[in-house]
Amino acid sequence: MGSTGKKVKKKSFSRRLSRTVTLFVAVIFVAEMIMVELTSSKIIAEEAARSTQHMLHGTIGELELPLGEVEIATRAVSSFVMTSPNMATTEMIMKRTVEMDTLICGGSVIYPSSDGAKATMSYEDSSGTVHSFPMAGGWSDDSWVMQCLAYVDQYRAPFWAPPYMAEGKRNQRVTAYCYPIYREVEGDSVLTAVVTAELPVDWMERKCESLRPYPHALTTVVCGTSIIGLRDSILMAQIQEAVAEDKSLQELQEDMKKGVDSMRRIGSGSQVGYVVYGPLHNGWTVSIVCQYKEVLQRSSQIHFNLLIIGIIVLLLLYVVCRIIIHRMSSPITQLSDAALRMAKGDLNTELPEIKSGDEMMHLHDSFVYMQNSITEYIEELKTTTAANERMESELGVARNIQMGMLRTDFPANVAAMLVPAKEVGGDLYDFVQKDNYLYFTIGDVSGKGVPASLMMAITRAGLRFVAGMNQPMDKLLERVNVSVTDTNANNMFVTLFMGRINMDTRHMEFCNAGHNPIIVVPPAGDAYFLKAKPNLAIGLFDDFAYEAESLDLEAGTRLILYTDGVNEAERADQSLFGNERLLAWAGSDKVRRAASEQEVVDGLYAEVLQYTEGNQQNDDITIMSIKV
Amino acid sequence: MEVTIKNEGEKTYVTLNGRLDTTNADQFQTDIQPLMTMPKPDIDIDCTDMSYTSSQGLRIFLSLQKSVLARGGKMVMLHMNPQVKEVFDITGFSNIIAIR
Repeated sequence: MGSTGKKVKKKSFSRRLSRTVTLFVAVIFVAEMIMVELTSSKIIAEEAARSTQHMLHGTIGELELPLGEVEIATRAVSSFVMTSPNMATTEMIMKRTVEMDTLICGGSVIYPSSDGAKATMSYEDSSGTVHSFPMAGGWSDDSWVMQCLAYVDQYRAPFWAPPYMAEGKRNQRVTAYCYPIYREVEGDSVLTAVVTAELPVDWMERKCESLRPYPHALTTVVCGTSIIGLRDSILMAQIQEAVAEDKSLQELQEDMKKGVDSMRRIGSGSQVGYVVYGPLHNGWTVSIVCQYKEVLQRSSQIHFNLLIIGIIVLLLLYVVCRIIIHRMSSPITQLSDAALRMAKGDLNTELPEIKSGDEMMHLHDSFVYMQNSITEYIEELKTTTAANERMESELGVARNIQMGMLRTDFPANVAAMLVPAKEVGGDLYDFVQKDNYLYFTIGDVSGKGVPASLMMAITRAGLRFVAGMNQPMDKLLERVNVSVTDTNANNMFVTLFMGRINMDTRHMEFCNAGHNPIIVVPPAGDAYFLKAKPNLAIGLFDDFAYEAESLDLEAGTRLILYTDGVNEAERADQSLFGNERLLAWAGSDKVRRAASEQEVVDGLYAEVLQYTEGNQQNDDITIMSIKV
Repeated sequence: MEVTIKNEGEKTYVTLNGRLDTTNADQFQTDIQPLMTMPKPDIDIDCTDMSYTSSQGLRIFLSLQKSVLARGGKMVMLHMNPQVKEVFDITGFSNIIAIR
């Protein structure tokens, strides 16, 4: 029992239902996660690009301001330089400018001449002290002064020089705004001086670094071939290589040159990202490169958190479901336990209280109803059974009484047997020996059971009454008929064969009231059914006139009387024993050689039993044998 | 046992089919109940397909006959097979019930 209980628990309803619900919710949850992942990553990417673009514009604004400031300062210096050709003065002005301006870290005024160039140089060292000094001649081609002049020659307008290593004892990369001054000489504009103001690159680099939307995003300022904000030379080389191979990057480069403000998707495989870029007024481009991987990392983090929360919620759901369902279905368990107890015979077992008003209560009510019904039914059954037992015992008594009515003290030349189909039957036989006469009769009441048995008792009483009366056979039978008919309100009737044999003369008078013809087995010659006048069965009409007949029998003749329980004995397939079989048996040697009448009677009964093959006997069987 | 009862004008035709034995005698009694109440009955009972009748069946036919005569009607049983006829003959019922 214990192991069975465990098994049942394993497959508990609450567990199964909880599992189904949880699984269902999990499927929905996963589907939702996938959908969110798909849609949100796109939205997040777009949002990120847009916010990066905003940031770019902010960055551009922040860079434009100091650049403009430097330009204004440079132009101011230039206006002095135009009016004052004195180098000492310009040197002082430049020095003052470097000292005063917080952004400008150095500056120079270059005077080109046919034999090279002269220049004044001012710069702020790391301690903040401003040095100023004139420089003259001996410029190498890669010196700043020569490069600047080359640019001036190229642009012939103010410009920002790409970053370069500052002159003097400074280990500093700078970029410079260069303002060339021309003078009209005989129709030509002749370059008289170039004023430059230097801006430290590291300042811009710091700006770039501080303006990163993501830790690994790359903010750079592209100035021609130089890139500010990209200090990693290996990465620089990789970028250059990539640009050489990737057409879209080349297009990007073109865009930058043209000063387009836009956004592009770049890269391939896992290395995908986007770049937003916009121009500065001086032709430089600010760009921010972001990797999608990094952009989506945050949303991945959110998704991961969601997943964890989801799993926790699912687990909680499972547990809560189980508890709730277990609680809600516990009446079922209790009811099933109660049912088991009832099945084991405890009909008054207490049922659990359920007042929920739902199907559970309905089930409970049905159980209560069933319990009551079964109890009532069993009570009824007990009563019925008791009544049946009483009736059976009464029937048993009735049977004994009925059997007691049948004579069994057979003389040597008579034997008979009666086997009722039920406890009591409607067949009868009787015989009376008086003087040298043998009165005998066999009869069959229509129907079976108790009604037939009562009728049989009445008939037998009537027969006993007339037996031995020295009157004609037909009169005797008429008297019996009247007495039976008087007491018969139910249209029941009795077929009867009645005979009287003078044992000395072997003269037989007989009357057949609707009974099966008896069989006559003469000592020599064939057995035959004794044809008789068709009189009506008794019990129907009290004024019916019966006709008697007579027959002289040879010595040694055997009379075999029977009721229809014999010739109509049925097999399972409903085939009947039949008159032919009966007559053939009666004429057989077995009967002729029979030592006693009892042997004849038993022989016929055995024959019938053999024929019916155990099929239930459905009519009373009566057999009588008489030898004269 | 199948019982078919058909009324055609004054006449009533009854058709019996099957065995009439202890198991269905009560049902048969119920089936022919309409015949027990009609005024001035004139009943033809076709027994062509009645294969057997028990003594209880005889009793019911007799009751019917008595009831019919009491109402001043008549009843005839037709086309009995030889086995059934034999039962009617042996029991003497042929003497009191019209058989053709």
